[in-house]
Amino acid sequence: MVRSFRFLFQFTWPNLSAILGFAVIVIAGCYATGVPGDTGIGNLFETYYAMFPIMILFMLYIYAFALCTSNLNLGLSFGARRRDFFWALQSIMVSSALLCWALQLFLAAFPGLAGWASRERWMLLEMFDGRPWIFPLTSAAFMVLGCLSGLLMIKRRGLGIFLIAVSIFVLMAATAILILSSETDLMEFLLDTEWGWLWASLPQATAAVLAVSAVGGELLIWRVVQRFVVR
Amino acid sequence: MNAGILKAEGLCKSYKDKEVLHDLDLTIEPGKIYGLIGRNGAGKTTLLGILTAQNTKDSGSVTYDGQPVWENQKALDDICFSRELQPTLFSGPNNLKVKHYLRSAAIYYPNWDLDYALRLLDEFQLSTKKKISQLSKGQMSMVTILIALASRAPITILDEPAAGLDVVMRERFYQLLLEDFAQTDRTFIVSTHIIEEAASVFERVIILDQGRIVENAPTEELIGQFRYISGREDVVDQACTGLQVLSAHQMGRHKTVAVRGDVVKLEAAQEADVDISPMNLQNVFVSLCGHGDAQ
Amino acid sequence: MRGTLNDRSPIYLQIAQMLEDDILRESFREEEQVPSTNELAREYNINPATAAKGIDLLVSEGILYKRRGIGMFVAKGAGSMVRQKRKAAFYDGYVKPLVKEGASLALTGEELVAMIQQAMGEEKDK
Repeated sequence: MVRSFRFLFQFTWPNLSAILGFAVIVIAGCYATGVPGDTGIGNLFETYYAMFPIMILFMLYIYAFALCTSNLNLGLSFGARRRDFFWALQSIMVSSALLCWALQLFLAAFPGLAGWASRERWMLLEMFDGRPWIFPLTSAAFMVLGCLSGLLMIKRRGLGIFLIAVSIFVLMAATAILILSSETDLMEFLLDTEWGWLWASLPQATAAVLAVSAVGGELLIWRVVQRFVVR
Repeated sequence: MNAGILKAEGLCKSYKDKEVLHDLDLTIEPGKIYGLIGRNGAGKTTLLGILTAQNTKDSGSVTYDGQPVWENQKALDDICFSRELQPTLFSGPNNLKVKHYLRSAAIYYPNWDLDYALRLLDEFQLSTKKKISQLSKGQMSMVTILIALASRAPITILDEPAAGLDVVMRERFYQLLLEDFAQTDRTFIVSTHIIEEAASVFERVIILDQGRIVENAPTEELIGQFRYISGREDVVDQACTGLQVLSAHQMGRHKTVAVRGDVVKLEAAQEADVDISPMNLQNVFVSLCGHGDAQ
Repeated sequence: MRGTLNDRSPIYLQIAQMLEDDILRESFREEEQVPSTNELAREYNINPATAAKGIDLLVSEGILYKRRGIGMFVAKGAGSMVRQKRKAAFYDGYVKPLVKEGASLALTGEELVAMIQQAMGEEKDK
């Protein structure tokens, strides 16, 4: 399994470095344009900072997709055991999720620590406040679906494209719901309406959907890996 | 090199409704160079894929040292299956550079010989910085050969290694193969279309036709059973008694037949007023497998 | 395969014959070492097992012998052994085909003998 991990890591580390590098650039850009000091300044860097967790999630999806398109074929052609490859893939996804979680926590805490003027939009970054497990769960779901999309893309293009569409829909919907559910004003308003019970259960339902997607996706990935025919 | 015995028994494989391998038995003994020859679509790559657990089988068993090869770490460590590089797999985001491809091989093959790999890189004049999809067909073949040789795997399988190489490079390939074999006594299985050139390299030849193994024998022993007999048709027919006639061509009363038989019967044929000439491996192959079905 | 090998007879026989020719021509003299199987395989681009078969044939006939750890050597009296062997094969290999060919050309026995004597004369004059 170590060999498959080393093999996949070759492709992963540049991508993770890119995420970290991008974060550094955004922070630097914020400082350069005076964002920390003045809550009135709303520019590109400020937007990126606010939306960074979302961006991380989508980048993880894309990286997982790219990782899984041809590397399974390559690894197996070099004599990797299928179960070793599967678990190496898991390790990569877990390490990536943990690293990004650390980054997200850092980005959420940083303005406070660095004495930046507080902004309401940045409540987004703390959307997981009280539910800190949501970010890693969402990362996992994004990566699993990304990986599965990549694998299926090779096997049957049509199915792959279909899954990409479904994934993007599910993931965007889940993200939107999570964002909305952290907007306290909006939530209070919705809970008072006729469908209040629906809105109240939405976060848990979303979390459940994400969890099921992740688990279901993993089972499918295992199946694809076991039955894969090397070309 | 301590290679185990790689054995297939009763192997069957179908794609959709077409049976690609029928009840196939094969034992690969260590320390020999095998040639695997067959027409396009005979099932060579499928067979090799199943032997190396890179393809799935419908029924039968493939064992290495008595244990099934599927998910078998020891078997996978000892076997290297170097396939033709498919440019389509290396397009877009998967466009690896040669050096990453080689580094990946070095990660996976426990016996990888870096010095040997570097020497071959130098000899083949391959640039590691180039992307695989930018390589010419010949260069892709050279990468395939490099991986196979530098893997130093006890059982090394090469699928069409010479395709895309010009004749000078092909000769160099056979030389490299024999040099490596002389040094390490590895087991090689080489699948190829270019039969006659490679014939003298193979200790044993396996002929695959329409999913079945029709011959698995020492090369010279096999060739020794075949002859061309030609002369006047009635004399030729007489000389062929007791021999298996594989094909016949006639021009007027001049008749040429391809026959197969044991040594004794072939010697007897020499008494008649006919010309007898030996067949080379390519001739033998065409005689056995040259039924003209479309592919 | 390289150069001097052809596909008219099994390769291992050709290897054996080439070594015998070398012995007759004194390219290898008695008690001298002959090329190893690996050297022969390398020279002619053939499988070492095939080269070994050719050498083993000569060993079994006593023309070569093995010195353990060193290699294969030309046996004492190998030259005359090879000549003897070729004499025995001469009838089947040369005389019978000559007679057969003569018959197909409808040459008489006397014509054949006359031709042989003429050729022997030319050989002597060289």
